[in-house]
Amino acid sequence: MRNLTKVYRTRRGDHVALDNVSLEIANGEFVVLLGPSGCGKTTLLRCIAGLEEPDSGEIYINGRLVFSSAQKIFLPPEKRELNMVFQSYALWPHLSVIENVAYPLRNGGTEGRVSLERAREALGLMGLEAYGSAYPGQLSGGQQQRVALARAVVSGDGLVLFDEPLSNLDAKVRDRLRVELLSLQERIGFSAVYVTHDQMEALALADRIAVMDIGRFAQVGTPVEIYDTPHSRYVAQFVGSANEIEGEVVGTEGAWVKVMTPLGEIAGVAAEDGIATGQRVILIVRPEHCVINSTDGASFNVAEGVLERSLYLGSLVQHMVKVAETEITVSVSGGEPLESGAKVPVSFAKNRTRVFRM
Amino acid sequence: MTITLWALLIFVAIVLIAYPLFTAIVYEFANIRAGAVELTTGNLSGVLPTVLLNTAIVVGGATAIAMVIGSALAWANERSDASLGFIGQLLPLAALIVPPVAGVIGWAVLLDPRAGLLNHLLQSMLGLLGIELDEGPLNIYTMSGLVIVTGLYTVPYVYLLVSAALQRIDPAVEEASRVSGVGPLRTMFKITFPAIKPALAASVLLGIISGISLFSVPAVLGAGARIDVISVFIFRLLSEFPARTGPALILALGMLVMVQVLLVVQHLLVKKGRNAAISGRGFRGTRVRLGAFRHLVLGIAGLYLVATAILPVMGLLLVSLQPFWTPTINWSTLTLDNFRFVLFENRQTVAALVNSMTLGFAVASVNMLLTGAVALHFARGGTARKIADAFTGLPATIPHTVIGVAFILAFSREPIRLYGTTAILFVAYMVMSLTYAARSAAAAADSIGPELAEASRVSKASDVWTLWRILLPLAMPGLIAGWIMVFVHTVGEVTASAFLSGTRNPVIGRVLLDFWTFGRFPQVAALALVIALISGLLVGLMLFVTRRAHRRTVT
Repeated sequence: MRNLTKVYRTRRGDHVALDNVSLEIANGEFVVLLGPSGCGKTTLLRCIAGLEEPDSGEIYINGRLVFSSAQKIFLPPEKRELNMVFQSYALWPHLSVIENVAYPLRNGGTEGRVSLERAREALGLMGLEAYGSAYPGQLSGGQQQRVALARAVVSGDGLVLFDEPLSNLDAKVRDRLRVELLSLQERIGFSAVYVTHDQMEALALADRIAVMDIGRFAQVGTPVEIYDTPHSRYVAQFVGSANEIEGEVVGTEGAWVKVMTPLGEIAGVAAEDGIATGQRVILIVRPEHCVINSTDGASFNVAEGVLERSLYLGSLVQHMVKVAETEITVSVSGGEPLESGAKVPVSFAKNRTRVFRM
Repeated sequence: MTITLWALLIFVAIVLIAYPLFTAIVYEFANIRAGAVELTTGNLSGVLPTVLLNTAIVVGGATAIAMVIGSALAWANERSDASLGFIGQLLPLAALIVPPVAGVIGWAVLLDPRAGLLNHLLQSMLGLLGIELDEGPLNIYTMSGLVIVTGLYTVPYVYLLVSAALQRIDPAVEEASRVSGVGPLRTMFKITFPAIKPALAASVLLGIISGISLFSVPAVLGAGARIDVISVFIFRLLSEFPARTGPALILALGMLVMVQVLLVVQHLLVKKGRNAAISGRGFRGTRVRLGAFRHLVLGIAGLYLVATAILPVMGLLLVSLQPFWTPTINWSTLTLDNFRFVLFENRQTVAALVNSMTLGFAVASVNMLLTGAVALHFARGGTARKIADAFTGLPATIPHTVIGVAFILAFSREPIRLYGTTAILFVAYMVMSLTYAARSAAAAADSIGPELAEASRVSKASDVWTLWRILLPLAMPGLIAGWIMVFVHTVGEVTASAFLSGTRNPVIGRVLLDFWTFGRFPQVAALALVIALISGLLVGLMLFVTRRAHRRTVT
């Protein structure tokens, strides 16, 4: 995709859905478009599919130009060699399961018997061989989505698009299907563009994540890059939790940036360019990188606060600590709740503390 | 394809209405001026105020009755534990199953003061108590008779509107009131009624509009009661010889203007009500426990169905089986001759049956094809669709009397001389049923989620193939339901048919009126029963088709 732009003109003004976005997706790569509602991720997906038309830019699929505003080219979806899995499964209720799955093959010119055979194979990959003659209305949500998956991969297109396919499913079913989807993709080897607002899902599935913010890419990178080294406050806050501490830069010491905050002097790593002395900044450190004890040492920031409450979440405990009017959340895996009102020290590693411009 | 659809739409919805109206006015311009004089100061000025007053009383009374019965039944069905279930579905269709013209003839034979079957029964019962009566006790040829029967056939409109509004209210709104200590009755008055006020106002207006336009009921009862309402008055003006076209056209246009004004008022009211409706997740809120009242409510609902459908049909049945109409039934003389007569022997009735069925078939097919294509082709919610919906909604704002008058005046002379042909009926019926067809088609198309078509496109199917293999099969049950609705309406139509149908192009509505006016009672009863039977069977089929489809597509 190159320079894709799309603006919706409404009575309340212009809404920029896509703002000059460009991205390249490699063969067999799993790319996740992640962002809140209205950021443009679904619009981008539908533009790739051909269900919507950008105002300007170009789209190539498998080296073929399927859309170009300059050359006035727009290939309809059926000609683009891709398939799509929808949030609501979009199975046709008047066709049987096997007819649903065989549909793309029949339309592509494959002969009836061969289509059914290959459809049966695809259903087998999803463990649903026995359900061929059933109708979608008779299946559970998870089963329907598996049928939709089978339909999407049966014609062997190199590209499959996903529009929040797991949002309608129960949590446990979602977890299971996520893993099945990964195995399927590894086995067949298609490229995937996957839209979601669920950051955990994005981290689990993606080779690369494109975090979107009102029509543009805030950051594109591997899950580790996005989570450990977010380039902006927006990305740091959207993916994973973030404790925020305001302050003013007072100087640098080697690799560290020193910031004067209500908690005292905190040292961290500059996450963006242009962080100079005297600038107002925000320090971000993740709850799981904080501990309730006064780990000493040159590589740790230490502060003391009052424990407001501990939230017991089963596999972890979240301690909410008030340190000089700032609330710091500390996550302890497998920890135990502490008593409210206790005076507790909080410490966090300097190299986990990231400094962003205000 | 798009251009063809637009052309057809504009032709049917606009040209076919505008042309006759304007042509009629142009042709009759001289007569209009004379007619205005007649109405205000001439021969008709004495009669006109009475006619208008009569219309006002009938429409006002009927709407009041319909509002009470309709909203009560709607509330009972939606909000209390006296839910009517299947009967609740039948209620609004009662007026379709037994068309008003058949129903009113049925009531006339039951409650005629001298020969009414039900009256005779009541007389015998009162005789047991020692009360001897020559006439009555009930007389349908009175203002009250007219008002009540009209009211009964207006109930469905109110019921549908109020039901829909009640369904849209978030039940939590009422539950919050109950939890705050307010009892069910006060909740109904303080919370529910204000929330559906726009729907209630809209029903009042709809009741008035349909009351003004109604022709079959006042045509059957008006003569005996010597009460003329405006729709019948206009008909009489054109039936005289020479026809008084001027006054007729003026009054028809007056009716049109009045209806349009009311519709504008309704539109303004409905818009304001937007904030009252919150769509819930389909939860049924707590239903009010009626206790002993439950049986009363169910009884009232049952009574309504009996009154609109069952009793008239029984009346028709008994009279149709007699050689001549008498209140005392001689069981040995009952015969099927009348049915044989209307179905096989009489040229008029046979021709009328054939014509009405053929016209019904043709009109339904053409209209559903056109509106189905429009609904499926234009994307839901798009500008094109909104404009198309506005066009197709237009014919519903034109009373059938106005259509009748405009068509007869416009097409009785060169260049387009259609009077007396089946073609003029075909065109009139197409215009009159377009809105029903469009609404059914829209409902059918809109029930299909947009992603079903999109999934087909990404699965390599072209636009046309998606329409054929996915959209059409899924919309088919709704389209069939629409087809049946249009067919039944066309076959039972009386108002415009009275103007446009004659001996050369007979249709059922007109023949029923003629037979009634000429006193051929057993035969008219037989014919009315045949129509009721056909309509009933088709509506039953429609219910079956839509229920089966609903079961299959709802996951």
